Amino acid sequence: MRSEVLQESLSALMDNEADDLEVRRVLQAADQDPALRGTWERYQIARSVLHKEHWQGSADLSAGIAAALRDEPELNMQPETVAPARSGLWRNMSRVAVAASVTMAVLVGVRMVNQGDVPTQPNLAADTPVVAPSFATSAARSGAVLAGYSDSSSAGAEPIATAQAPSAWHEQRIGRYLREHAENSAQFSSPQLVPYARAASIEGR
Amino acid sequence: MVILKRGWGCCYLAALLVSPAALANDAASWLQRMSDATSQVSYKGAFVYERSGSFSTHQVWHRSTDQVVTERLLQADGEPHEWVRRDGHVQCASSYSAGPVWDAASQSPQDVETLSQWYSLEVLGATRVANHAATVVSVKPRDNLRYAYELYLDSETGLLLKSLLINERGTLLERFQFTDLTYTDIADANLEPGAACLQLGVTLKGEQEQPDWQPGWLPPGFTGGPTDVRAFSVDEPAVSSRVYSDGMARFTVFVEPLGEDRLANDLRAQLGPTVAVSRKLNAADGVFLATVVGEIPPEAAERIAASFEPGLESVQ
Repeated sequence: MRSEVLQESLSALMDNEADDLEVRRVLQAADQDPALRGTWERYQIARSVLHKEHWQGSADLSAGIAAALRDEPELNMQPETVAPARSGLWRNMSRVAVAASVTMAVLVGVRMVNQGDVPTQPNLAADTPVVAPSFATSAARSGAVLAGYSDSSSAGAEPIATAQAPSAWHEQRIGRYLREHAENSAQFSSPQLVPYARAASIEGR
Repeated sequence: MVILKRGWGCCYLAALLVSPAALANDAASWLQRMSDATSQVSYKGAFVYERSGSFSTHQVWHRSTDQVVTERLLQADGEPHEWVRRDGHVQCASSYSAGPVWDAASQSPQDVETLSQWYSLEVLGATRVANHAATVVSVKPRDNLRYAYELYLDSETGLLLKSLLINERGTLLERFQFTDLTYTDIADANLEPGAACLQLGVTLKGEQEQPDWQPGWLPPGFTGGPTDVRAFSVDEPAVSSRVYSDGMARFTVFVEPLGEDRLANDLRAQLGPTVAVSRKLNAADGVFLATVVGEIPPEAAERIAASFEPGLESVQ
């Protein structure tokens, strides 16, 4: 019975139809139940296939969702009064609120690769410290931050992780190369606007 | 009844045998339509671009008349980054370098046939982007020397509505996506550059003789354009640069001399989808710095950077 309810909550969550309590319930249960986590993962893969969205199988969204919910005010409601009633204004409002949280969290989960990503770490000069990925830390601090929304806090150290502290000239040069490459790519008549957008994103720094 | 069943079985089998090739052909023709769409439709719209550490919104006005494409792009948030391009040439840009026009002719048109040699092409299905029906084409590398793309094309016009760049571990590296798109004639006024859009600077052609450093190894399928030699500023030695592309991915190789006030070491940097790998090159006539910059996996860039040899014409 309990697992049936959980399954239903999980389905609702996948449809963005879960209310706040259902989300908490699923998160809590998933924490202790590997089988439920497995189901959740399969649902996510299935959904990504259905939506033709790319899905990274390795990411665990529940942590991000939990983080997003942690920052939300607690609900003043008993579970029993909520679960069966699947209609009404309150439910609709809460559905919107939860959907928003989940969307944020998903965006955190699908965070773009950055310097903190272990396999892309520079493999040279292991004796010198690697520049800390400021984006990852700022995202972790605030729970749910959409990739790139932390502009002001990360603008200083965001762009480049290096294996060793480069000379000021070299650092400036790398920035210049990145711009040159991006602008050069953008100037070709291309069916894509992507190179232009890339160049603009470097320009904006 | 039996005959009917047999009939279905035969068709099903035929479909199984035919479909992979047919799918690839279909995807290839979609990519061709995407290339053609640029010069066939006029539109205005808005799009977003997202990568690690950056999220920006942009507006675009695009006019195609008699094969002449004029396009104005304006960043809608932050600094008003602007770009006006006419017939393949940038008219003005609000870029800090306002660099010279690179030879657009060196860009070979995207050859879909060649592309399928290095990428497997597949139509994944249909969805909706910016309120337009979209066809999803996946462009997956056949080796680990390039990234994968997921392209969402307008099912009616072939215009690229959304593009995802994905690495070999399935991580999303960047997202480009229209949020609003209207096919319409574009008035002249909408293509007029604003005050922020500056005329391009003068080319500082480098005349110095430089040893011709070239990578000894390239990922298969990549071909180079002409080598360009010029200085970034008046009082600096010339930098030679060369662009390489496989039809989807692109990287640039920069080589310039080092000196007392121009110190550098081997280095690897990553900005969103773009990697930069520097290698110091020792030669009889001085020390040079070669840097590979592009939207390719770091491992591929490392391998290119490690293969530099003086005066050796690169493969391809």
